[in-house]
Amino acid sequence: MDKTTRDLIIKAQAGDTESFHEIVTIYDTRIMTLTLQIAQNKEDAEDIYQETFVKVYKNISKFRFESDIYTWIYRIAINTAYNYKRKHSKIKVVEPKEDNGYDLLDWVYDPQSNEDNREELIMAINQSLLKLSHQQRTVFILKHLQQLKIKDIANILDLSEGTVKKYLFRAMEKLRVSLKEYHYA
Amino acid sequence: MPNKISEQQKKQAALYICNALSITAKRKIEQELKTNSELQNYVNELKSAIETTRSFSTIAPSEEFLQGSRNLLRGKIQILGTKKNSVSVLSNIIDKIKSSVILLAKKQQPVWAVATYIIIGLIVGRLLLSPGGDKPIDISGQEYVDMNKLIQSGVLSDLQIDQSTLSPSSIKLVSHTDNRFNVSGNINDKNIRKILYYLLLNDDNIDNRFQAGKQIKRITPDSVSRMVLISSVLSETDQRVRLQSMETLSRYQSSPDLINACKRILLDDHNFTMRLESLNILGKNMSSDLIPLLEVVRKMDDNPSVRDKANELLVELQKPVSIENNEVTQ
Repeated sequence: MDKTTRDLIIKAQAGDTESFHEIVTIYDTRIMTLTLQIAQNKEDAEDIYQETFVKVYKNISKFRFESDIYTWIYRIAINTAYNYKRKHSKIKVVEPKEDNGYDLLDWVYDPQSNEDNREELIMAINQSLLKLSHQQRTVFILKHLQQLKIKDIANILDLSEGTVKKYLFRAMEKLRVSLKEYHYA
Repeated sequence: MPNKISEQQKKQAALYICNALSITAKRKIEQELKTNSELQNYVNELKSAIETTRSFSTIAPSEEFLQGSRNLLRGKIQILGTKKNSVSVLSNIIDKIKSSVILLAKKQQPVWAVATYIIIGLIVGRLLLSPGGDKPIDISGQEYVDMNKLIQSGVLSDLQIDQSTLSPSSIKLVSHTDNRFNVSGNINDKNIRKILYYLLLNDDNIDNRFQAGKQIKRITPDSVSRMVLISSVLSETDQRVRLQSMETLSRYQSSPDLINACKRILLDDHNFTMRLESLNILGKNMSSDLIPLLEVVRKMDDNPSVRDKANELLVELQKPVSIENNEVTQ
């Protein structure tokens, strides 16, 4: 953690809300991306984002600098996301979108690819991700979509590195099998 | 004949892709990969599955979506900050009272003495929590007013704007439960502003929020009032109050925060008047990066007036620049 971030945390702990908002600006793109990946729709993702940072604000005085702040925020975000899912039970698979020409969330879009195949593939990926257990999906998202290190994932999820590797292998194997059926693997 | 691969080899291959093997294990699997075609296929399939999933699941939130969320969060934190301060001071007072009561109870005082202590405690508490003596308090013009103390005293919870004494530049705020508290002063006084901001964002009574918003309309715009109004349009539940804040904002100079708030309202607000008003504000700050958003609104908004307005702005944006206007006078 660099000195500027550390100073911001100390100021936020002392009640300086502007410093808190600066911390938000540093990490919130990653957190919003993560919540979108878990929730798969922007309404739920935003609710989780809001709830996460309100919790960060309420608990920042308890942060003891024993870990990196981003792993601490990630942990809050993941717990919030799954509690939210449990409470609302409405986190849903992304349905193929109607062609409106623009996408407000800037989903990766390749105009060269065949639109039908693309939608089918998105459905297949989402279905495959939903077949994974909660832990397998989380570990997969953190490793391959958020590009975190295994050590950090273990820290965020409070698991041993061995357990993280086990979940990761199971997730990758299931995805390989699922996507092979669609001839994309 | 293709080589068979064991479960252990599969695990090692997965960890190899994740770059999570020790140097020795990595060398070993790389050696095996040179000769084992089945293992090679397995690794390729894993890599492909990951790449495909990654390329279709990497969602980057747009800057305007993120900015809207930040504004909403700002409003929530502001409210929380106020409550947090009030609660912490109050809980300190309660803790002190608790410890005093425990102390008294331990000494086994007679009932009449305990009752007297409680009455004295209540009077002292009342004095501590009241903002001042018996004379009316005028906080306008004071260098610093502790808003937290005012909030804790409770006077802000039933504060109202005295309509009978309103003039173009002054205002009077009266408390119904504490008649000693009646603040009067210039509408642009910073303390009066602070109270109005508090009322607009925190008062439980809708009419009070509406009245506070009405007065904020009269003050000289600055960056703080803009932020307060943006918080109001993004977090207010009452349509009347929200609309009033939006109308006030339409008189403000453009800023990135305001533009982002308008974009957010245009996409998310259920009230079509709010969406129309946000289009009016955006219309004063036209730039080509609005085109995708306007296209979406033109095609997808539920309300025909909003669609028409979006279309009108789009036409204006896409109008070719007149050559005559660009000609340099000879």
